[in-house]
Amino acid sequence: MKPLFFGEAERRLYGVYHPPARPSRHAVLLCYPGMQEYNASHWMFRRLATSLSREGHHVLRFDYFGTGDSDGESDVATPASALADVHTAIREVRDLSRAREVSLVGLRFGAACAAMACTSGFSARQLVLWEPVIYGSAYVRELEALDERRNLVLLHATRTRGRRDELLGFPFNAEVRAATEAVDLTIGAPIKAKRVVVLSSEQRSEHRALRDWYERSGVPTELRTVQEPDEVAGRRLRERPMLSNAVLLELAAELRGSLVG
Amino acid sequence: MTYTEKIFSFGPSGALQGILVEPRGRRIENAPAILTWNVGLHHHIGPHRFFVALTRSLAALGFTSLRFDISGLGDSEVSQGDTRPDPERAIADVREAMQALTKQRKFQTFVPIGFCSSVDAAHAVGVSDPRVVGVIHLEGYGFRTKGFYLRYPLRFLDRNRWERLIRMRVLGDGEAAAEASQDKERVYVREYPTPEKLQSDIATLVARGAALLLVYVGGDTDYAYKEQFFEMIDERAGSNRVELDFYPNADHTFFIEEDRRRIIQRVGFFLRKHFGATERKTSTTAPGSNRVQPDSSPRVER
Repeated sequence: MKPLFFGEAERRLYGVYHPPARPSRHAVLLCYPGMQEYNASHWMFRRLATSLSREGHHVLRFDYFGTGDSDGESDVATPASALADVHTAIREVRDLSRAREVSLVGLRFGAACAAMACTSGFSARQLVLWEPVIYGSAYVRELEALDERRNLVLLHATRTRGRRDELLGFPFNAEVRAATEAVDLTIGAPIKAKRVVVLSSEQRSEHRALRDWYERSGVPTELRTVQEPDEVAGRRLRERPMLSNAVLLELAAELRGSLVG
Repeated sequence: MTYTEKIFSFGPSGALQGILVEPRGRRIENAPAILTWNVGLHHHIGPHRFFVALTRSLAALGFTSLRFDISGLGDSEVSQGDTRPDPERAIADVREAMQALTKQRKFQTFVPIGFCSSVDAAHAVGVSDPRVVGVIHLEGYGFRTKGFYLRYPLRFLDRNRWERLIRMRVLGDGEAAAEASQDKERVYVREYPTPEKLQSDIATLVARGAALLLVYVGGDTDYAYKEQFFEMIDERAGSNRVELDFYPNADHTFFIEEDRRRIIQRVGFFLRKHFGATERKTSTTAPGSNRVQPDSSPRVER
């Protein structure tokens, strides 16, 4: 496990590179979810990175600009800057690994960023979308509902009523809100990947819409439901990925194919 | 930018990972290094990235900080064969951080910042290690006192409480009730020192000349008014080495950005007041000579 800073001098990104247990020509870039879900998923990402490197992949996990240990304050992170960071991180993992092919794994909003990278110049060996955010507007509504409840529980209801400049403990200005709400993975340029897998705890209509859209681009897309134990399945949607061992096993099995391809 | 950040690997086999945050320009000569680490199971950036904002802000004031992960959390690994219990290992990791900063950056004095559960290691190291010249507890030890119970009914004047109660009980908002209940489950169960032990520990720190900042919040905590700490340890007169702050409208993890900004400003002010007096253009002072003596009156620079 090797922590590092990379990227431009005034816009450095923090990442952790996990070298493979044996020589390999395949790398995996892990894309964290949005900052509101970062802390809850960090441990799971470390476990996933360790597990994939043991399987023989080069792995890089990294923090977007304005998140985690990367440069920038929390109010400067936008979907566009996160997308640019995914491209920077792809270049970095290629430099570190000399890998021929790179696969992307993204969770929630990180899945949206990974998918957008594959419609903006990058072609992935595999694109694994884990509980992906497909429509930004639905995602913002979901986080807003959680934020409203959190403020109620923490006794901030009167203080925050009518305010829309923060979301779940982070700045969320009008520009970031508009850009996030505008995300729609079912429109735009064709996706470039050899294969797409959507992993989720339940199959929903937006997953099918995404599969149909990607298959129209000629990319084989599989929707896979991961069965969770009751104690995980009973949790809120945003918490399930952070708790699931089943998803880790599924991801490792899915990416194993790229080692021999 | 007013800071530089570097990867800082230390401890046995470099298993412990952190980010060293240093001032880019003006720095305070012989200032203590500031240490922050995991709150509960959170990664070292802290809740809502609190420690990132704090350490960068302190660098702008001239202080160097290390925000790091203790063994087995965040990006740090547990050294092979290390079977010590977590609390014991956390204390050892804080000492490792101090040792590494001495070796690699010549720091002789330190101020650990404990936040919620990480107060345990900050307090233990502070009491036992003379290199610790200041300790900051954010949401540290709180015991209910007579004063707490006398003020308890005042909670019911808070409109937010009634709104929450109505939503959960009258309107049957199960999600809110579940969240409130999960919050209680999530609290990191730990052993507090007894009030007598805490009193003795504080006396030890004060006698040694260490400065303390203890920050508490209102909400659903066991703290209700600013001076409650002095009642807790039966120290009516207080001490000019112990500074208390109480933010009745803030919550346990400073969910609102404005609250985080206020705390960060407060911590910076405290550090400047006690350790900013030795700022000089050139240093002729031996390392560690900025140790604050009990009767000293440090110059406060604004």
